[in-house]
Amino acid sequence: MIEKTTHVPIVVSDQDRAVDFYTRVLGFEKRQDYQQEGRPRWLTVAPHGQEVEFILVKGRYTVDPRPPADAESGGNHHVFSTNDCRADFAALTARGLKFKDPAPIDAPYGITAYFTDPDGNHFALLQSKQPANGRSGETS
Amino acid sequence: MQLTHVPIVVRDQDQALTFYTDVLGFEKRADYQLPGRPRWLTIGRKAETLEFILVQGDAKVDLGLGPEAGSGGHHIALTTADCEQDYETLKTRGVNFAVGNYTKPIKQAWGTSVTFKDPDGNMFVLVQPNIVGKVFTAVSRLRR
Repeated sequence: MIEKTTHVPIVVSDQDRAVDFYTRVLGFEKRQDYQQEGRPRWLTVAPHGQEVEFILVKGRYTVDPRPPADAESGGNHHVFSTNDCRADFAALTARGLKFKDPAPIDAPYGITAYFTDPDGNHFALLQSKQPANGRSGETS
Repeated sequence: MQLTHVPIVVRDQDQALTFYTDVLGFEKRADYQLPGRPRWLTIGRKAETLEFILVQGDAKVDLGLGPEAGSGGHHIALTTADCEQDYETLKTRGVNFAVGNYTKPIKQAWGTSVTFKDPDGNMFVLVQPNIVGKVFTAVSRLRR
């Protein structure tokens, strides 16, 4: 039966702009980039040390409700764990990333910061207060 | 930075939960609602920490491809040790494998795969990589 997840999609309007954002700004590594004749360009990126890859698919994504970049995602976001949200916030800000709020938020469940990619896809960075329950891949 | 949660937009969270747990065999991980906030409902595979957030909404994706196309790359990929067998099992549970011109597992250079949809049209590819696929994946990970 189904074992594990290897790829998840993110719809982007411009693959070159997206790969620049995900590698240079977020620090992901590019994993695959090729195009078979008559097929869409297969472009994937992933956080260092993680198996799951993002497929940067060229297209148009609409969702209702779709909050703007400076609003709550309403739960429609990807979550990244981090072991130091404030340090990541500073490093990513220095690379030009604009976060929703001027500083990380102290929430009951951890320290968190929200941002969007150039296409308005929402992300949350979370330094969880709960320990990584002994399962691998929980934090970097 | 490691990915821990991935959203899947669904029109009806209860219907989606039934599909992902009863049909696909995911386990429910979190299900609660804070006052004034959307219901936070997540599922995951037993063997992995990654969770999918079943978000209530109505999403549309336009890849500019024809009706004959498969997922066009807009899919969540999952691995399996036996694609044909999973296809038969999931088909008896009512999973929709009609995506573009595709209806059943196909053999490719890198393995066997089949595409299916959840009740909201979100697409999945179930992949059984062969030795070529496994080597290709390993090499792409080493090549930094």
